[in-house]
Amino acid sequence: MTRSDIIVRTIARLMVPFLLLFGAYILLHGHLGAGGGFQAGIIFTSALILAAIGRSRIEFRSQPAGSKLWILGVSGAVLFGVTGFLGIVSGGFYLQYSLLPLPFPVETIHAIMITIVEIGIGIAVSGMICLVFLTITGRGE
Amino acid sequence: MIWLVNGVLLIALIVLAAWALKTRDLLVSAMILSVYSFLMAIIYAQLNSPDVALTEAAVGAGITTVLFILAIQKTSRMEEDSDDETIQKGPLAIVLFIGLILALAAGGMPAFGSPDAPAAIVSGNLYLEEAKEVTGVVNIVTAIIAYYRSFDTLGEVTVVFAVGIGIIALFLRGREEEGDDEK
Repeated sequence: MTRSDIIVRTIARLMVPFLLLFGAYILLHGHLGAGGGFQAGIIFTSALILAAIGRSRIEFRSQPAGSKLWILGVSGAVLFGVTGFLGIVSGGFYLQYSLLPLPFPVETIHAIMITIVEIGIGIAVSGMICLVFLTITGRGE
Repeated sequence: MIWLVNGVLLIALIVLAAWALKTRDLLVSAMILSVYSFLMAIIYAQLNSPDVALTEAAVGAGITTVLFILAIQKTSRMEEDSDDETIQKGPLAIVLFIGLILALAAGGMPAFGSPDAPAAIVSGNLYLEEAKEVTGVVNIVTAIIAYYRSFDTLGEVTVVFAVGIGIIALFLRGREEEGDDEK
């Protein structure tokens, strides 16, 4: 391990919590400012990639966790789809949220459902991009 | 003043694109494309579209560069020298012809941000007027993505899902082959 290695790894490790916080802000604040599920998923992924750089690279390659990441990605997409079916269950159309039996005004229900959908998108995107990254780094030495 | 900044940014984009094409070092090329994406993000932000700017900065300058660098690390860094350095006339003529058509078509486009543009008349103005009351969401881009155009977004998530399934298929096939080698 050379000296520049120490610098790179320390900086990468220091950046990770701030990037995760920024990703959560982008995800949950997407209805008020710039951002949304796609951007937040990408930012989460870059935080995880930096965490991987911060650790020893060999250690990261031998990690079998990558093969389980598809569960995360699929669950995000399923969360979106199932949220759409709630509209049918409540007597409306697919992806129609206005008839949901929640004790809020209609626009609040819409805002809540939009946030849930954004969270689903974020989970799906970050899971799948992480899977791509792990697949490329993990094999074919 | 802002036109000067925009002009410098656009010229820098063209210079960077030409440089990325010319250089033989693929790592340098990936870095130049990363800078290119950052400049695009600045242009988008200056055009009052922070959502697109954020996406461009995160995807174009961040993840894409990482994937390029990984691909270069797996293959080779320097592009092979080719003897044929001459510019081919046929493709150049086609490119110039299509560019001329696009330049002529650009003259017929509506003015930037015009409220009379077709995109604004059909649906854009409606979203701007009623999105906040109907959805309770201040950011109209999010309202369109997750409410008005929910089906489109579901399709995009399905595409991401399909990417994942493709990768899983490749992953599992590779693992089976490795298992065969061990036997």
